[in-house]
Amino acid sequence: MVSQIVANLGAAAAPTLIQSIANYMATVESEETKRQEIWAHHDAIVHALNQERDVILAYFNHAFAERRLVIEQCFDVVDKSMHANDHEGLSLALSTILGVIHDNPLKDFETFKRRMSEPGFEIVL
Amino acid sequence: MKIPVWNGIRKTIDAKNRVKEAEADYRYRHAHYVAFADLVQVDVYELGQARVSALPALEQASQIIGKARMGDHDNTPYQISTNELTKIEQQNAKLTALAGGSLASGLTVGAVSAIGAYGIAGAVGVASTGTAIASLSGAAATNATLAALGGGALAAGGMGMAGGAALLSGIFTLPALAGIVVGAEVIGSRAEKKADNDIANISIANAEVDLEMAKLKAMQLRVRELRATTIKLTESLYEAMRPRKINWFMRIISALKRLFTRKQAPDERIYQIYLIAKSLSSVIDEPVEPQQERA
Repeated sequence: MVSQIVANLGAAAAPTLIQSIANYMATVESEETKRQEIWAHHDAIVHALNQERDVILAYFNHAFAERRLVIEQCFDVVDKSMHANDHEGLSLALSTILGVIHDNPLKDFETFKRRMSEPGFEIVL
Repeated sequence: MKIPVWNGIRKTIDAKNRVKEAEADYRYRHAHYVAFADLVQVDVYELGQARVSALPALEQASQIIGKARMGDHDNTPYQISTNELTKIEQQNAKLTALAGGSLASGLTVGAVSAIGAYGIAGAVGVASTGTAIASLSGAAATNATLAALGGGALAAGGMGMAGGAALLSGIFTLPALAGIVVGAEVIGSRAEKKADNDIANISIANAEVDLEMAKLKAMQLRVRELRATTIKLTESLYEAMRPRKINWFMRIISALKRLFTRKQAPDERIYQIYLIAKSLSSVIDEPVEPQQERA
């Protein structure tokens, strides 16, 4: 079969062959460049998303653990104040609990997005 | 040994398989996210239950405070605001409105969840990733490429139809042969690029799902915090309302104090009940997410 193909080769066909190979090479190179662009774009987006995810997980786990500790300590004070009829202590402990509850950490989502876009942004837990 | 035409076809088929694997990975992650959202929904329901369970305690507290016939006592150390008392009394009506029915007649799971979900902007359990898998351009495009290679027009190489016809008829002229080889390779190369584009989009969608999951976890922590605080305050309120033994001496002192001061000053126990009930009412009012204003 190959010898039959070779036999059919003519001088007139050579430019077409060269042109086809040149087109092919150009196309492959162009597609390869586009693939690199796709992955560069992908890496940048995924890196930003993963970074935001990591910060959210670290921050909120830490924040809610700290809040839980404060609330538990306040409830200890509530219990003791109730038994001791200490209204000032009771009032203060309840106010602190309400202060913690009213200060909703979920409001920080938008702050994060804004801050993370700033160069050199660091979070200290 | 690589056969030129089949090398192009192989690239195209490989590209399609890579996209399929990436899609399967996305579906797995998305299913995981939906399952987690269901768990958060359970937390929301339990928060609703805690809020509903606090109502009898608040009702009892408002009755006790009401019986003490107290109003605003600016001159006493124990100031009870009638406004705060009214807020406590109205808590039942607020939650009834949230539930969309009567609390007395029993609540459905949906109604309790609605009470728990007060302050949540979106419905938990509905995935909200930015990229839907159906919108990924590549999967359909890759299929189309394969279809084209299987018998359609090979537009990419320009010689696709001619090459295909030559293959079928067995007439191997040079331009036709070049067309077949180049066409298949070009299509293979483009299929790889398209596959990369699809897989990159799916990978971004995966990262978006992970991010949504992290946000959902934060919301879950908030829901659990509100639930735990509501339950603890309800327990404290019941503890404050529990009848205590007061000896006869303290009773006489208390009666004399009321007689001589002629003020309707609340006794210490009533004031404790008031403080805790006020706090409990405020916690019940607290939305899960910050964007809604407190009622």
